[in-house]
Amino acid sequence: MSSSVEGTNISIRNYPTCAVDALTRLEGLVATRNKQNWAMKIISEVIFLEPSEGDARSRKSQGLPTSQMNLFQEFQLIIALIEYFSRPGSDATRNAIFLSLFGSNLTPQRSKLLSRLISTAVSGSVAPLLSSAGTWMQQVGCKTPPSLEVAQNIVSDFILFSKKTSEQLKQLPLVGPQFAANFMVAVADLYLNEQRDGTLIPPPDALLDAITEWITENPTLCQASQQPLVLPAGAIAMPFATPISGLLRWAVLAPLISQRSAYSNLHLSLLQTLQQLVCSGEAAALHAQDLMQIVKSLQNHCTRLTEANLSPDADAAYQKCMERFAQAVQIALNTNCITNPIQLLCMLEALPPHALMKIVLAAHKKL
Amino acid sequence: MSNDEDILYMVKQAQTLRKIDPCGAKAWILTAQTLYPNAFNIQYEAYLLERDGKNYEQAAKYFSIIAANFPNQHAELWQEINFLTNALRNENENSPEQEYYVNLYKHLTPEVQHNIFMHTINNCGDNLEQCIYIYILMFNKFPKTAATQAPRLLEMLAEGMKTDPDLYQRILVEEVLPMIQHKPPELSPLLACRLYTNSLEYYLRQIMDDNSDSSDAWKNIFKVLMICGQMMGWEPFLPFSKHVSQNVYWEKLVDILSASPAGSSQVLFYATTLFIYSLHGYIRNCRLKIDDTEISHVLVEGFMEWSAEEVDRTSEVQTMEPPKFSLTTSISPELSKAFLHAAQCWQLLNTDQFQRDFSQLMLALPLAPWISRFLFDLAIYFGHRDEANKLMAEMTTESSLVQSLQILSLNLMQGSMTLQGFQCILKILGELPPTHGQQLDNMTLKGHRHMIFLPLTRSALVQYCTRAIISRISRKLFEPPCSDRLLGDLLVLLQINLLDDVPLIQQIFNLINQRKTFNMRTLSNYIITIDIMEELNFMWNAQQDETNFELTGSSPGGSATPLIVGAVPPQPRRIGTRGADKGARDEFKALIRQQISRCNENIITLLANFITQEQLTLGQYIFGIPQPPPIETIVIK
Repeated sequence: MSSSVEGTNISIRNYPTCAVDALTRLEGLVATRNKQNWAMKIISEVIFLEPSEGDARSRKSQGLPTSQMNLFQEFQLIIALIEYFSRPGSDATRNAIFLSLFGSNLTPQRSKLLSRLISTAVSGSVAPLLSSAGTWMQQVGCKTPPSLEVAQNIVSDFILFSKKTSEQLKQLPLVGPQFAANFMVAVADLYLNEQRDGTLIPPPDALLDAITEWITENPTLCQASQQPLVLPAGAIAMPFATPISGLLRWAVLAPLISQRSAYSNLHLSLLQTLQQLVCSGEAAALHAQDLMQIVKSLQNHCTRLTEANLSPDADAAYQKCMERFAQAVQIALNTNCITNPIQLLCMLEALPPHALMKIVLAAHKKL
Repeated sequence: MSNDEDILYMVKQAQTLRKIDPCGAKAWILTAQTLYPNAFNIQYEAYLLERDGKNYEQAAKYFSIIAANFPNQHAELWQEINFLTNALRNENENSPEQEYYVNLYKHLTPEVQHNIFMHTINNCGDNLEQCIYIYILMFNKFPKTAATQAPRLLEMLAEGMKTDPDLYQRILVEEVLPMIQHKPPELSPLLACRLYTNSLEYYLRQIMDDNSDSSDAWKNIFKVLMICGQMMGWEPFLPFSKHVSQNVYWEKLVDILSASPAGSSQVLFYATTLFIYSLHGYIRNCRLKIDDTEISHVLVEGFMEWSAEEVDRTSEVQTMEPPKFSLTTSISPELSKAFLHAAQCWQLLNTDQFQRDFSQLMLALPLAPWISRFLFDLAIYFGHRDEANKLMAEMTTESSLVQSLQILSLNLMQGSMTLQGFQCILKILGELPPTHGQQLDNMTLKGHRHMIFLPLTRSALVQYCTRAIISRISRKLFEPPCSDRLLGDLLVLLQINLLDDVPLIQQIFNLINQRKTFNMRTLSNYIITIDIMEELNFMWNAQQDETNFELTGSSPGGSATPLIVGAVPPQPRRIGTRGADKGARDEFKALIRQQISRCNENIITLLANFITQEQLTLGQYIFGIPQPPPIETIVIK
């Protein structure tokens, strides 16, 4: 094992000082595209203390663990990163560093460390780090496994293992609006998602309440992800995601499994959010495909009803779902927020009827 | 389904959820609003949801939408507007409902606020009172609107006065005038004058109902006069101050009068105001309170010192010049000033140029009781006896004591006393008030007719009655023969104030001196003044040597309480002066000593008793008839 990384003067002996030095050094490297490999090497070996390829091979053959990092070092690195991201500096540099650290080569070790880092940033309200994390989430995709893992970890740390919702989580939309929006996209995908789980699993009550409070008190929060990203030169910004469709799925499908009035509040907040959206054709907030997920679950429910010889007309849960769905569709259509509306309307017409849905469909067919 | 059915369906869904799931209800309404933005039901339901949730901002938003898009048609909207305006009118009421509407109002834009008032005003229909209150509310909230809208409000007030003067006068004076005082609108002169008259009437009622300090009311009257004057472009009058002498106001009035065309309404109103101000000062001072006791003053004829030579000349002067006022009490200068100012204004206002308008004004104002009193006093003052008699019949409110006094005064003005006048004296003495008071100075003056403000106290009243009798009887001294009895009785009466009548007393003692015998039956009962007894004593001693003088007094033992004379008068006892009867001399000395011991008795009570007891004798002196009719048969009026 060499005491310094090849081609650099950075010693890995005095960790984490060497990691901090490496971060500073990286600032210059990530700006120039042709030194990427070198940068990757420094990140891997100096910051995450990963063995070089040859090293790893030899360790593997000896039956030793490939990771060099122990729990204490992990802790030291998290502190170092929090400190580093809290330093004054440009957003572009911070985002570039964050993406370099976690954008690719996301080993299980890095992934675990990332989740811990973000949870720490949430509880410490470290705004610059959360801002970079928000950008990262969007670039890797909010519904991809790394993002879902981060979201799941936050739910565990702040909802499941916490007796009452922490103030830091409540304040998250103010500290990191973009991160909060992307977190909602991810977390919405985790629950009441029949396609994913094969059944409808409700979100924890505290999570539902927290999110309802977020969007009720911050009516523009769902659009926070639409802020332009500050990316390193040459990087391509990934498409925006909005939590509206996912949360709408919660509100619409909730009557099938829960009577909680919190869903009614969430639903109203979503309607108000939709009402305030100013949509251009390009940046539509709701994609018909996202709403299809809701249609599919409703169809499944009706199929189950038919199998049990029940009529959807007489099923209060279904009627309530359709009532909310029709309301949301009407308001979204009214503000022109749905892509491919014709396709959606056809799908809706195929569902067992509901009085309001009929009114809504009739109103928009005329157009 | 038709549109209306759809709307009803959605509103109904929202209504069923309103209590159990407000968010669900709102979701319905949000949806319905996007489907049917022009449906009143939906917008109103949206408003109700926010109202129930006390979300002022949202409620105000929907309320504005409703008010702007659905004017006049919907009873529900009017009900809300009425609740709103009522809440604003009673801002200190503090019920939750009232609080809601006040907050709702605060969240409305000024434009909507103003529109609500204007819509309400335009839709008040026959409800004058409501309309007026909304105007007032609007002026309070939007002071600038007063400039353009005030004339219409004032017209409405004038209209309202025809049906409910009390209510609309109060609104005018208490609420509207304070709002427009800094920038009075232009009004037709007719309306401005009418509004001033109405305000004046309001304040006069206040002054008449409430005996406390009225200077605030007068300050306000002068202020309103100023505002109305500004509306009509009058030359401003002086502001009110209770320390400013009425002379100052009068001089200002004379200035304005000299610069104005004949019959100008500014002079009419300024003079009328000044007249009422002086009149009020006069009436108020006539009912002055001293140490919590109300002591009224009554204007009466004063007495002239009588002398045989001057009879002709005085009667001539009497008709030529207005009388003066005697300085009798501390209040009399103020009373006479107020009276004279009122009289000046009255005379100005009764000249041809103003008379018609002025009498109309007087009919409109609630001044009748003051005016009738003033006119009566004015008639007395000018010596218009017939006029005074006529007015006396019209006055109703005075007490019988005052009435008797006024009849007596009228009698004295004529220069002779009638039987009615004498009966009035007896009535007055029968009704003497408990307040003792003091004797007055200057009740009798030389050579010139004069007036007295007589306070209604025992002393002053008895003094006045005594004076009245003395002035009648004293001329008999110069018409011999006059009896011992008359001389003695006159001496009793003159005890009221010896210093006032020194010549008369000298005349009486001269007459006594000239007689050989003198019977003084009243000595032991009614003579308690030391000066008179000294004189008698001196006379008795001085004439002892003369051979033929007898002084007779009543027996000292005749009555235990000399003031109460029994049905049978004690037998007169001759006291000889021939010297032989030493017992008689002792007896006379004892009698004098006994009377001297009574010198501190109350002369007022003594004289009141004397006149009452000796009314037959006194009547005989005055009217020269042997038997005046008994008192029981006397009916005054």
